[in-house]
Amino acid sequence: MLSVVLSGLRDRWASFLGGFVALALGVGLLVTMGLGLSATFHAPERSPQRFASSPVVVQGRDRLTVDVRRGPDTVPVEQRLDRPQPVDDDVLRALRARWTVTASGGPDAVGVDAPAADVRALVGDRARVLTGNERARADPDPERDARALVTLNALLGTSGGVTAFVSVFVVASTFAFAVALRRREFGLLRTAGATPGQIRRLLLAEAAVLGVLASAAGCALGALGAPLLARTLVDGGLAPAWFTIGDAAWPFHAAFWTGVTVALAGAVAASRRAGKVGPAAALREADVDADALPLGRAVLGTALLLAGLGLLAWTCATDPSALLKRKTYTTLPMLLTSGVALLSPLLVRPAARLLRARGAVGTLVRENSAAAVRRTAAVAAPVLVTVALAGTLFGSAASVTRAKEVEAREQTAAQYVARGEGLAAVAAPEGAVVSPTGATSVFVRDGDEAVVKYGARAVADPAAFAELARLPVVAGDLRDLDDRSIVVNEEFERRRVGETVDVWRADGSGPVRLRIVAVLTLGTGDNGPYVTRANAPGAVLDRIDARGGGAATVRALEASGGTVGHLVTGASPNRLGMVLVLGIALVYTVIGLANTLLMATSVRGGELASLRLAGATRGQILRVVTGEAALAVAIGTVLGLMVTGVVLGTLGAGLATLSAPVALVVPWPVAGTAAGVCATVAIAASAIPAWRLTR
Amino acid sequence: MTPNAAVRLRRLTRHHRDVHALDGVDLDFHAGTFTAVMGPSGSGKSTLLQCAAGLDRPTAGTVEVGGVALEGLSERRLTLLRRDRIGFVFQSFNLLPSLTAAQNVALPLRLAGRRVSRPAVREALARVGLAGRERHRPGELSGGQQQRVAIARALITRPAVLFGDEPTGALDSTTSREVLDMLRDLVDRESQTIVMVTHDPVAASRADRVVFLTDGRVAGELTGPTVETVTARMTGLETDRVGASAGGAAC
Repeated sequence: MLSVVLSGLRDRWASFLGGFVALALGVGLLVTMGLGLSATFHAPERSPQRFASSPVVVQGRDRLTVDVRRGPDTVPVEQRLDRPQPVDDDVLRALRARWTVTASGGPDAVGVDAPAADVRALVGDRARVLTGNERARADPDPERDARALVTLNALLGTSGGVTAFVSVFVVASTFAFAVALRRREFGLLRTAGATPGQIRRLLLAEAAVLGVLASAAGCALGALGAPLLARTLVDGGLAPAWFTIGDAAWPFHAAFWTGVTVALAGAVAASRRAGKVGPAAALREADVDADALPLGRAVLGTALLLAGLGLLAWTCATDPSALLKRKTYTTLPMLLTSGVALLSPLLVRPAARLLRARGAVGTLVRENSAAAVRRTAAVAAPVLVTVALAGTLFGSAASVTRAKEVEAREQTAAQYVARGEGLAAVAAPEGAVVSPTGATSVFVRDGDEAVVKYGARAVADPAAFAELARLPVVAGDLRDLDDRSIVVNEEFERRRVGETVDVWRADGSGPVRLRIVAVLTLGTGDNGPYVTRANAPGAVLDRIDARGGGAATVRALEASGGTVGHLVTGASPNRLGMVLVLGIALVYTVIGLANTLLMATSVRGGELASLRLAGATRGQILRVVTGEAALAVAIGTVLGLMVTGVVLGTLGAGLATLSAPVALVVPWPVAGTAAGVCATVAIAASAIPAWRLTR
Repeated sequence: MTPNAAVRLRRLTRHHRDVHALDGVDLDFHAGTFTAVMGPSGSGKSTLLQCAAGLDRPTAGTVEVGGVALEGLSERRLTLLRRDRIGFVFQSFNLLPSLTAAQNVALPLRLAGRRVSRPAVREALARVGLAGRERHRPGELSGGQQQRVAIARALITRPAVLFGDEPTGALDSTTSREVLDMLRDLVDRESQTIVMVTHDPVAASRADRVVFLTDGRVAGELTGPTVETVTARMTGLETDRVGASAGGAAC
């Protein structure tokens, strides 16, 4: 048997090469993403800078501890404060009385030259005591490394997920199609006395050989690719300059075994089919695919489609703000996309029949596409996946950004807005209304069991704020905001005007009891609560809205130290990241397409020869073959756009539920580019073998 | 009924959707005889052969080969039985293009997991007149030579019956005669049982007995056929049929 396997590999190297390249590249990408991902798990240890010469650092409180109910008991839960508070005066005095205390920078931490145990005993739980490398926590912005990695982690996680999804899909369908093309060969083996089991084992052995070789090659590829990825990320500004790839082993294991498993799984499904074909049936020259949609695929496709639609509807109904999150809009459409892709053989025939072309070429294109459902679907499905990915990823991200922009613009009546960190207060020029605000946070109990941190806005001048803000108020009046009240949104547990909420302030002080004066809709997520500066200790101004006063106002705003201009929200979608994700999918689709079409067209020698004998010119044959490829790509594109439509429609419904502006963006350029690249490759990959066959 | 029937068909029926390819056929093929099955296109002769050889499953009725009933055997058991007891030769040779002549001949034994002795394969090829061609691939052989490789492959397991589905259909008349001589020889000298479907009266006249089929039913038979008697009978069948279907397409 083994020699049959080997002679098979030797003779059909062309069709195996496609599977090999697809699998090796997929494994390589997985290794690269995995290595990158593992490098984002740990920020490098930094040696302390600010208190490098003091063995012990005493830092003020940096978290809020509140007791909540957990079952029958009461347990303390912690929430991080925005920044550490100044060290308690009593503690400071006690420390100074006994040891040398070094101050440096702000009042939030001091260095102490003393044994750590003694300092701990003295301080107790009134402050934090840091030793060794932990002292770096007192450095300015100690979280910046970790923060830089969080974004990177999300990006690499998303790309890794998309890579896994697309590569598994393409490899499995390439394998299945390669097996379908070899129907006749299996028929020959069956008439020569091979049992169905032997055919299955033959296929599995081939898949195992191919899977191991390609996965090993992929691991080597990934080891080379990972440093390249790290450099690209650093150059592109997506990763901090110190970002490097570590020496983790798990990405290699994960990717290698995934590759082998995918190869075997693709072969298992295909081999079951191959084994079932009776010897006589296999030999019948059946070019019209009767059972292009086997039961297993139909069931799985339907299940995925229903799950995809169901989850979308359910999320839209129960938690519409989740639809705006990247995690949701990258993963949810995948279910829908794979469902439609699996069911595509059902849709191909009616779609092909819609072609109303006249003449011999048009008729042939239509009838061939409808008859060879497997081939048409094998081309259309990867195109569908790419177009749907492009449409849903870019479309959702762009729509969310657009909605946020529109919302932000709608929420102020200001003519000028100054933005920047730590703006200086400005006096309102003659005839102008000026409303400075800053970021702060409030902590509120949610039920008995949790404490929630809300990103809030601190209002410096309630009257000016009320005049300029155009917030979506559900109830109450913004003008009532004062030092003993709060404006909340509908996410709050208590959200009725006149009720009171207990609030801890940004420095951990409180709770203070504030009266609710107005309630806002949830929107895209930025309609946070509003308090006055009295309830926002430590808040610095980062935005000044102004209206009226002309040039004097602009001069005043400029004097605050911020940039004055029209309103643009900060968080623009991470384009480079998305291009990376889509690029992977596109490369993959292109390989799958080229592979399928090269394989499929190469075996059409007899058919094309009969066409030639029937009087078709070489040009006409090329037009038929490339026309079929183009039609299949068109079908895939239309299906992909339909998936995009459903996903964006749901997003729109979600935005409407949140009372946010419904501003949907269909990414025509990106989807068009994806479809165009697919069409070009498909036409080339079918024209080249057809050209050779008709020579 | 005769105890030495190599293949026994009883009430054999095969429907393809609503087409009755076989409609209750009772036939015995005796051991050591050469039978030709003839009939107009669409008379069900190929279906008969495939059902008798276990390549296709009948809708109803029974098939016995060498005393073993094929009914109810799993696909695996059926394949094993076919591999051991039945040889099959097709019009289109059906050799594996990637394997050499010797590898093709040895394939059934290798699939059965048996040891393949080089001399046995060489002898099998020599018996069909292809000594020295062991290392040629099908693409490097003529049609007649390929069909002889296929016959050698079918005989390597010493089957109880050799079935041929138009084995000379793709060959020119000279090559065709050589292949038929060889088949006749196998029956006469080695008592091989052969059942062959053909539409060629010349090929049929080399058999011991000719069975005629129309519309899935046995329409008569000839023992000791000649080209003339076979041709006469065939012409009669075809005119009957055209007359019956009032000029409907016979093909």
